Amino acid sequence: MSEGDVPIPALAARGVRKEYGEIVALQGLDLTIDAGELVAFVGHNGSGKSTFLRLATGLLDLTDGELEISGAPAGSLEARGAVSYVPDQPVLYDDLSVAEHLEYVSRLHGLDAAPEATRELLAYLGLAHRAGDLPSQFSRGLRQRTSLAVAFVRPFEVLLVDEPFVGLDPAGQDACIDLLCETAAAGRTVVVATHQLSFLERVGRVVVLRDGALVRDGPPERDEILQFLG
Amino acid sequence: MTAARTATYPAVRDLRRARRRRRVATLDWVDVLYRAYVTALLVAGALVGLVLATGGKPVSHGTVSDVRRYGPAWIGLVVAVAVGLGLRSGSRGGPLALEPADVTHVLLGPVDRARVLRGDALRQARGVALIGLLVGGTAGGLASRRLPGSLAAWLATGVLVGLVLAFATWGAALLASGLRVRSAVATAVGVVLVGWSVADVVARVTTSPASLVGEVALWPVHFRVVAVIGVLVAVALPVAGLLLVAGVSLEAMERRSGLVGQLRFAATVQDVRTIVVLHRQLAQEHARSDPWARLRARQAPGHACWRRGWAGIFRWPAARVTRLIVLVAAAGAAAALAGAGTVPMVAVAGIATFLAGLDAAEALAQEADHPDIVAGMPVDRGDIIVRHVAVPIAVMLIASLAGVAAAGLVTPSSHVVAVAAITAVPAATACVLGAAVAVVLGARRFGVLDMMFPEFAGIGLVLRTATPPAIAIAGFIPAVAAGQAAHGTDPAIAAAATLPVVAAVVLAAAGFVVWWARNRL
Repeated sequence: MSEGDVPIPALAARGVRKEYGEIVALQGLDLTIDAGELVAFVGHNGSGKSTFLRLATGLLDLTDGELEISGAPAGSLEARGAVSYVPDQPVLYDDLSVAEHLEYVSRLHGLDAAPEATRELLAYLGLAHRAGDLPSQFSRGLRQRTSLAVAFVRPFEVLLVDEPFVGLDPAGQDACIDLLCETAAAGRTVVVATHQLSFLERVGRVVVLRDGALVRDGPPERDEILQFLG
Repeated sequence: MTAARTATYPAVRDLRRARRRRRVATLDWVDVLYRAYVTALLVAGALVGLVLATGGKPVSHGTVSDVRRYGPAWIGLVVAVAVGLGLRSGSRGGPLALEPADVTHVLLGPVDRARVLRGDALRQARGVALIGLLVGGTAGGLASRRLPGSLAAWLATGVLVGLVLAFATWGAALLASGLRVRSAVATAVGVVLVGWSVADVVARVTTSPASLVGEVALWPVHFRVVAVIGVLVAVALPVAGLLLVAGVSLEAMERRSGLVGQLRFAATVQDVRTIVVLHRQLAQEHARSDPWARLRARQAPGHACWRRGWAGIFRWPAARVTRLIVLVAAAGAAAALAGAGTVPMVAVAGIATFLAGLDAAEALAQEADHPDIVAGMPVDRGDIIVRHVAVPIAVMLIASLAGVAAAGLVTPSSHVVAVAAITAVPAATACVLGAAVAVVLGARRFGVLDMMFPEFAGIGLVLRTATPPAIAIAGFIPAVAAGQAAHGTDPAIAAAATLPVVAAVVLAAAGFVVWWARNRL
């Protein structure tokens, strides 16, 4: 997407501030992420990673500042159509099977059910044989895979993923990492909040947050990042 | 991925229909019928109780005149309080409570939020209408027994006012939620509305829209067409709320969606403690990081529970302090009315102090929430629970000043104030003991109840639910005793006569709870 000759960033944050009562979760964050970037957000617990992602989805209200997704304010109809979000805890219906989740979310986004594509996605995430089962009866790892499938079944320009590797076995983690990298390689923007430092080797850019402030933004240089993380 | 664009709203509609069909298909109809039977029994029992409590003889002309003069403002006060509570709920994201998955997948999707939320609101409105209909119809039917006017007229008026009250409360919440009214603003508007109604009560006039709704409630004895304005104002609230529903904050809705589900579950298993905790979370009631006062450091050990209790009390948010005072004041007013002859008001007084006691017994409840902490100490758990009772009793005794003042306002008499002051001791003790029993019973998931024959489980559940508030209500026996003794005797002697009753109530309640805590925990 572009406006004249200037490309519109996939995600643009200007002075983003978020307070929960007396607690300041984010303090005036400025950040621009271009289309096709694969960016990792790292930082200690409570540094503001999840808060930033949730603000970008529109789940949280900004205390101050501006946050745009593909040029549209976060949470607006256009931005909601552009952003796909994988929360840190899978949020799924108790009474829908995996396949029914995918069909429902596809239809919510104006897509007719495409069984072939759904089958491919489920096979990729190792859920093909569980398509008819209820995720409410799954282990944490299988629920996480379902959550990823739900995020990928719909169209999006920006993918926001919060702690995607929690609960996944090594094979699941590898599949997830490959999926994220392929998505970025296909020109879509991927932002991942994670504590998994091994993932950083696969990303193009690492943003380090500390106490709600951006303290480093650059290429994935492990030793330097570790210094910031203490 | 091959895909063709289609309209998105039908997906929401189709899914909801499919889920409803699936729920109906998997229903256990025997269980549903049993629940309907139990509900019908309880409702019938409550109705009989209400009929007995209100009596059956028509009131005198003087009383009718009083009802006509003061009734609209008092009923208006109830309406104003309800609307104020609705506004507060709306400022926190109420009244809608979607599933967490609906918030994440539907409201974050590119769907028309107004359409989705309006559908949910209209479904919720059916329940609101049913409550208004039942409460209003019951009140109208009861009023017809004692006030002039036909049963049909009272029923029609009762239903109308019940619906207006229910929809005004719900609509105020929906409007505040849609407009994202801040909590402080909602409280301020609520205070203005209640203050306006209080002014009407004091001045014995009808000026506020809420008082006009009160006028409608008394149409069978005094018809004033101008009261329709109150109904129109009340109806405007839900209409505006439905129009602006899309403005709701997703942040508030997401927080609420998770908590309301837990709250409903806790209510179905009568887990009072969980209900209290979840209600505080819904209200975003957090302990103060900067306490009202700090305890001085002590070198010597001992009094751990006493000091821990006060440390928690000093971190109470202002909202909890206000709630406690309001509940105790309401209890004082109700107890004064009970002493004056309306004996059933003693239940209102007891339930109000029971709720206040649940707030005051927070340290004890925290102990019940975290049994592992005490399990790792060389102390008896029951002993710890008993020691935690002292601070909340002290708090309730301090708060009882508000109750004594309210009793004096409702029935201005030095003897009533004396009885209220004496009653404060057993009432404060009993409500804390009742709260302690409720909290500890809620924490004991696998107790005696689970060992019972299934046939007795229902009775056990009723006893478990009813015993704690019953203990709190027993704390007001002295007020009733004084009221009964005052008939035909010197009020001062009647007040003094309450002292042995006080001692008996305090000793009986405290003895029972201490025995129970030390031997059954």
